[in-house]
Amino acid sequence: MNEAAAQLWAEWSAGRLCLQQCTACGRSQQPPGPVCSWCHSTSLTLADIDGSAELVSWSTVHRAPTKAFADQVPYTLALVRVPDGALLEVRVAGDEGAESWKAGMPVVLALGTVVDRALPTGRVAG
Amino acid sequence: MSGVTAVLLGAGEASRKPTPGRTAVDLAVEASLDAIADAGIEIGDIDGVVTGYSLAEQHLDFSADLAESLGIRPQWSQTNSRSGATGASIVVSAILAVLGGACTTALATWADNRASGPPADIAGVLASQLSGFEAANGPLIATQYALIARSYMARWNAGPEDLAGVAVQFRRHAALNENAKYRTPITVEDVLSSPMASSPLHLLECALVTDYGGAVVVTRSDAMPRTPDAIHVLGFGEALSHQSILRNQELFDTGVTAAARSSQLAYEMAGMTARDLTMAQIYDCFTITVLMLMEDFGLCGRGEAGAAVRNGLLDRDGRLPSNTNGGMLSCASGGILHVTEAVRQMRGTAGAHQLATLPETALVHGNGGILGAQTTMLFGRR
Ligand SMILES: [Zn+2]
Repeated sequence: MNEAAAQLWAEWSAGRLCLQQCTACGRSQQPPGPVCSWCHSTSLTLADIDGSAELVSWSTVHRAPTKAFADQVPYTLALVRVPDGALLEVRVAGDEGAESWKAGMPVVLALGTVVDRALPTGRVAG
Repeated sequence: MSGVTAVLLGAGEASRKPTPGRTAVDLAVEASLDAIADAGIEIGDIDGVVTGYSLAEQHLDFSADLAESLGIRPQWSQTNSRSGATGASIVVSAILAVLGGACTTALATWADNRASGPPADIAGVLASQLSGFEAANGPLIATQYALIARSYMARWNAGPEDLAGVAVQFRRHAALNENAKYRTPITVEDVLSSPMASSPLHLLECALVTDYGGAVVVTRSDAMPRTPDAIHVLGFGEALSHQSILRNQELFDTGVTAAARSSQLAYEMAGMTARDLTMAQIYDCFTITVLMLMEDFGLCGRGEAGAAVRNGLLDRDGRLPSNTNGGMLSCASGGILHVTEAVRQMRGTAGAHQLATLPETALVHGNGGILGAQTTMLFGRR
């Protein structure tokens, strides 16, 4: 794990909903790293996000990848895009209607907990 | 390419009968000796060794374990770790080594005891290779491909039956291969009624976890012993787009992967197009992988791969026989077997599942990570 990733995890654990953002081009990226993947600038910072995002894709996981998730299946993971450009993979609540979701639907992000980790989670606002 | 070219003298495979206690190196040795015998050379003729990595065992340098086991001291050796693309990529490394003068005759081997060796939970080991920001949410590797599959299906109005058709097609090929793990024919309905792994991908759309070992011998055309049925490397290309799918939005926006680039590089080097191909061996970790790669290779138009498979394009009796051993979906794990199968079919040594007409040309492709690392090779019988 790189330094930027450790900082992001720490901010999420402290209750701050933020992502790595490039101060040169203004776009955000996940996972964070030492270089902006959009413009190759090394001027990067952690910036608050307002929790708005759009649904790109989603999948309901029926078999746990590890023992830690065994008592949680099935659960739905969504790929969402925030306005500044980054893609995030998040656990989504309220997935009963998941098979009728459409890409482009709004998703609201908020800090939540998956297993023992604080991270952004989503709710599809359909 | 003109003048001196790289050639494949032979191919070998390890027995895939699960054998407790058999190590990844044991499998590598078995495949290597088979390839050396098939090439008609002596162990001592090998002066270069390139191997893949093992998931089941830790090796600081797998190529050193293999070389020592074979009793040789090569002047060039390397261990390559390019995820699933490793099987094709070690052959490219061997080609570069013999053409670049690092050695004359290279052995390229990839083996792993994923079924009979520790640890038992390979799916968990693989999923832990994702970035922490992905893995914390609990995805399978299949989940990451499923996310890409759902975008593909929405973009082209493809249905679950379009994906399932790939598994059905390769099982049909596996039925003729006594070395394939699963040989009983299946239908689209069988695939779609198998348990869901990660929607929309079902279990029968996911590659098998088996032991495997495969090897080829690569040399230069001007150093080649008198072997009339050597296979010529006509071209190759590699491309890398990402480690995390979060960093490659094209996977979801256009569905074009780095395989479009790797195959284009290979076609340009060979002076060929997709229309010149008579066989393909395509990395098939999931059904969706094959559909998207087919389109990246130009085997059909964008969004048309499902129909092309349904119409028999990839069938052993079709225009472009593909994954003739049953592939990773029905035969065995390990992208190296796409390479060995191509060589055997072109040399007429594939056994019960040998194609009636020897393929004159072949595309062999490895895919690594979540559609991130791509390696394409083009082979010809002359
Ligand atoms: Zn930037």
